[in-house]
Amino acid sequence: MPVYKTRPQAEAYGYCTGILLLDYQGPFVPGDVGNADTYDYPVLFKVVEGATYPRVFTGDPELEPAIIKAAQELEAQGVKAISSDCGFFLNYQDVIAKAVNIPVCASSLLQVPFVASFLGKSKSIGVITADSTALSNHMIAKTGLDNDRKLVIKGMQEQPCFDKQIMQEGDELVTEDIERETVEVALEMQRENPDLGAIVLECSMLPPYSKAVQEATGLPVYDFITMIDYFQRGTHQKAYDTPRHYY
Amino acid sequence: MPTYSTRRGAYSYGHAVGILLLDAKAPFIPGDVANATSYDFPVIYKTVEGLSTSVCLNGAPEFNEKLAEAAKELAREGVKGISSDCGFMLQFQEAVADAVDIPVCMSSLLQLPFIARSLDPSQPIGVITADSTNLDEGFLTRGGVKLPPNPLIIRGMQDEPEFKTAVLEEKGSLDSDLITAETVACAEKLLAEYPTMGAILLECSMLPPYAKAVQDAVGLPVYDFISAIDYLSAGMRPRAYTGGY
Repeated sequence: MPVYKTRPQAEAYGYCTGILLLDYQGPFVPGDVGNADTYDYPVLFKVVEGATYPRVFTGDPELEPAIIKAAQELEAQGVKAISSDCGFFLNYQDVIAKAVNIPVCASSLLQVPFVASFLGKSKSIGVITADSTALSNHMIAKTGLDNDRKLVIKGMQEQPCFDKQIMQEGDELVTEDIERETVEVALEMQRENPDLGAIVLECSMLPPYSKAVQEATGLPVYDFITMIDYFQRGTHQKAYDTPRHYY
Repeated sequence: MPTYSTRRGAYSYGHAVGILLLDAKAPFIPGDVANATSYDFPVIYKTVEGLSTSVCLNGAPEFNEKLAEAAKELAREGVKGISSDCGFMLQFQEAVADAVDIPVCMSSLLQLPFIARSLDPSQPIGVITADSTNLDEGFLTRGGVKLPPNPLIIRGMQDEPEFKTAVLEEKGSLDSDLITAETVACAEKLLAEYPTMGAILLECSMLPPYAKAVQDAVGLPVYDFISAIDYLSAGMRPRAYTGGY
């Protein structure tokens, strides 16, 4: 019979992924990284106090201690992997990974080189981000993407509804508005880059619209949720309990 | 109402991933890449005639064209992504990806840089492969895998009696209890030698059935061929979210 030990810092058990949250309030709709019902497994959220998105976008080093502390608290609660709800947490990927002993996927952008590796060498890879002016070459380099892969970046910051409802921390979010704008940006990217092979959505508030983007462009679309699901899979291997005669 | 057009070259529809198979005969049990029940989505298989396990493991650039053609046929049938049932098919990644317009993940080994990025660079990554005599850093680099800063510890199953006879020598039967024990022992040895190990990657397409046993034994993240194919497919099967608020 298995023996289980108390985890002193755990209030409750069974959380799979721990998710660091920006200090941000907005409606997190189903499909958003910050909505618990997005996942097929339980996740544990933890707000990093003071981590406003402008500070995270620029990688403010003064936030590091608070981020590390939050990540270590999630680990002590028993989560098996750590993620976040902002692709710009890429700025803190390395310090978090150093501070804990579980896998860390702090940013959807970490997928960019993996997805690029699926594509023929003549294809470009696209990133749709909340704010393209904040996504520096230095950050792209941090993903590990090869220099010879063509990368196309488009931002949502000039889309009126995205700006008002998301960037300005509006009280209301109309999913039809954000979906329309995201699809428009994706189609524009595809028109301007006929060699586009796949799209990665940086922003944690965009996965609800991945399906619309995929259907409009016909391209593979990866987002924060595809990444968190991947690490869930690696940290919770499954039993293949199909009856054995199914072979 | 949507209008659908006939896809010339397709005799059935709805397959998410097309999987190119080695010309090998062994029991592909649930959890194996070549067992259709291993997925939550439909897959379609295509055997590459003449590409035996040993030919593939020893390197077979003469098959580039044949694999590219087979992938194109699968694409014409409407699959949304292409994969394979041997991690050593990494050698065909470039040829196949350049031949089609859909995403291609020919090898479990493509996960290596992604897995490494989730760890601290000081944490070793264990790779358990069918045959460690043919898998080294040069093979990875030639296949386009960017070597991570993490130490890579590569261990092979080629001398494990049941794995060797059932998988590599195709004796015609496979005892999954014995291969579980062999794979778990290999992983436990890896962890004993490298206690700071951060993750284990199973290269071989016949090892995913044992991934859970390995994880239960060593308590580490374990990635395998199925985790790669699931991820490949996820980009082309985005979810509609209907949950609560």
